[in-house]
Amino acid sequence: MSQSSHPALEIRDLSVEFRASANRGLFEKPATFKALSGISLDIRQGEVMGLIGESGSGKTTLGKAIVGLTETSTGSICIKGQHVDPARAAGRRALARLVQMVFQDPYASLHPRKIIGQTLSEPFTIQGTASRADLRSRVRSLLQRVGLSPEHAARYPQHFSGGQRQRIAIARAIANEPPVIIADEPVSALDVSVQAQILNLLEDLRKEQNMAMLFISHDLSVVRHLCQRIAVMYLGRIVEIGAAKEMTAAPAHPYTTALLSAAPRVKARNRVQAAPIVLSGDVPSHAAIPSGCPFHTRCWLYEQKGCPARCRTEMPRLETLPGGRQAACFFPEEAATPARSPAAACV
Amino acid sequence: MGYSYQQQIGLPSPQRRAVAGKDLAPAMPLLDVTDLTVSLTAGGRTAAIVEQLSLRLERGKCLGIVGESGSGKSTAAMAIMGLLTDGPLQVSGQILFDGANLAQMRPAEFRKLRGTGIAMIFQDPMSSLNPVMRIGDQIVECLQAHRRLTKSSARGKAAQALARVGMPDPEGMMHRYPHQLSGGQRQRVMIAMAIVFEPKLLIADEPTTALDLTIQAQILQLLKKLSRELNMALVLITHDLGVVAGMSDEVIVLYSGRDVERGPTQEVLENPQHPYTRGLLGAHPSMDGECGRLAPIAGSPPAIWQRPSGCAFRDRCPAAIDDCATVKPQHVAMPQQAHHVACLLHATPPQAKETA
Repeated sequence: MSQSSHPALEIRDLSVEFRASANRGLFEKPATFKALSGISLDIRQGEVMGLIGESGSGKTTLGKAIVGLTETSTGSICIKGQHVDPARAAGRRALARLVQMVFQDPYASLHPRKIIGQTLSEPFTIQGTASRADLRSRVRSLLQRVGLSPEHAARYPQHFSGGQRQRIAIARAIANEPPVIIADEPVSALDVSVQAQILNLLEDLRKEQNMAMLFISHDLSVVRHLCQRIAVMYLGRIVEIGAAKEMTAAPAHPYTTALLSAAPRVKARNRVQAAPIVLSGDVPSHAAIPSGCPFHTRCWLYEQKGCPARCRTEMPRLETLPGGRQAACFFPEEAATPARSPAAACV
Repeated sequence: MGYSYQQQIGLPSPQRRAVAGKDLAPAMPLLDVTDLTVSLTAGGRTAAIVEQLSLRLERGKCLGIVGESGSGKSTAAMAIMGLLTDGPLQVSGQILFDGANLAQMRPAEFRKLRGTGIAMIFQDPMSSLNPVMRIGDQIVECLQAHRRLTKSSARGKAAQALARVGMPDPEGMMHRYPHQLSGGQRQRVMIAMAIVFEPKLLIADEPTTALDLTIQAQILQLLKKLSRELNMALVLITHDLGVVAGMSDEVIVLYSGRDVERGPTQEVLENPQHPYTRGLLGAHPSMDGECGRLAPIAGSPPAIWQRPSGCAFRDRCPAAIDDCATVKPQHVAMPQQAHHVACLLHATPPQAKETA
């Protein structure tokens, strides 16, 4: 891969707006709220980008917008330098060649009345990438690639365990070797002992096929393990983005610090000794995003700094910090070290 | 064998044993479960969902029960709560709560105990709350079911309970419906309802699994605080070893309905002895240190009708020996106090035992 080549996935200034229909008068204009605002993101070939944030932060909406399952308001999406427009019906089939999605729940994402062979033939027949004669052998080799045996093609989804179903869902996504895969919480419905199998499989496929992956998860340890870079979302915005190891060692946004501190740790030596940072309250509603920095209503750093007015009035932009990391905070240098719990420095 | 199964498992803590040794009346544990077995008979076959589970829990302590889906952890909790008596499952074993044998308690008596003595909260607060009833009315209903209270005093108590679980604006919350609350708030309502009579024991079945990390941290902190304030024992059922690590004093690891390892939480997590516990710890990526390849446990947990003979884990175990297929491993005490493991690798070979 040469440096001059385009990133596999290039998102510029993407916004998604939803209309709220509830609680309005007959002649009132429907309120709109921004589920995503101004998302810009590059994923290189062969790179896994982790996307983390609480529910309602817009992780899944971003994934859906990329594969064309949600209408976008503004912004552009380019895959391998090619501008894609999911809104055009004619573009949908072409888009399916470029990007595929793996969903969270493998019990819901496979057709219960189709045998696995049928499910896995569809990508080839729809895209016309395999002749009828080849179809069987393509499905067989696909099953083998994800660690299942070719005989499984004749069975129904109900015959498989959760981990096996997720392998089938992954097989379907990679059938036509798309350059980009969106994996939306692909392991969170699985038992711990099975999770690792799927994570290893994704890692192998990434290496073999050199594909780019957007890996959506709420599990920080999984994201840190699998991803080269991580983007942290809060209320529809990216608040921090950077290399996985560096970010988890020293976050540059107080929200990232709070997420890291909330992650349960098994080993005592890795656990934060003092009280972890517990954010108060819930994520605010998208319909009433706080002024200034959207995080200031729950921010521990804002409190620690004596509630600077700037946080309430001015929206921090995603700025590049020394080292190439980007964070949307006015005080990125202080975000890694909460004063009230000194032991948190080991986060 | 020179000693009974009971003696091998669930040994009291060293301090208590010392007291017992001096022939003083040992403090009775709040919850003392011996050989709890829950089995299902269908089509002429019988399978145990929970097999010979024994546990002891003191007042104010927290016991973690860890296991994957299908390991029987929720079934064990339901059995302790007496919720399985009318179903198709057979429950056997002794359950002593505060000296009373729950297994022999009449349904009417048990109903009085539930809520006031033992309370339970579930994973999904949305399906545990009545969607068409205001929060306040639901708590009042619970209060009036157990105590003769006027509506207004019940409402006062309900508001107090909501305030106790850290709900902002408890009075206002009383008028809301469950769908108007966030997941974390709903779980707080469930907890408020559970602690309204200040029970001695709270069983929390995956209380934070449906919640975000940041909200999970809030709820766990709340449970810890309440357990301390009310001197309430807590049984915390979870699949997440990390949750147990931060919360419980002791932990039991369940696999296929059997307790494979138990002991003080720190000891079990830092020094796991059962191949399954080791596998679980190895399969989960760490938040610190290097990111090598993960070591998954091969295969997946067996369905209840397909459990292998002998040790249920042997099909997936990297260290299985021939005997694992025939011998059901019994609990063996590790040199470290109160750490027990049910694995043949740690059992003394039969010959050695006979000579001893």
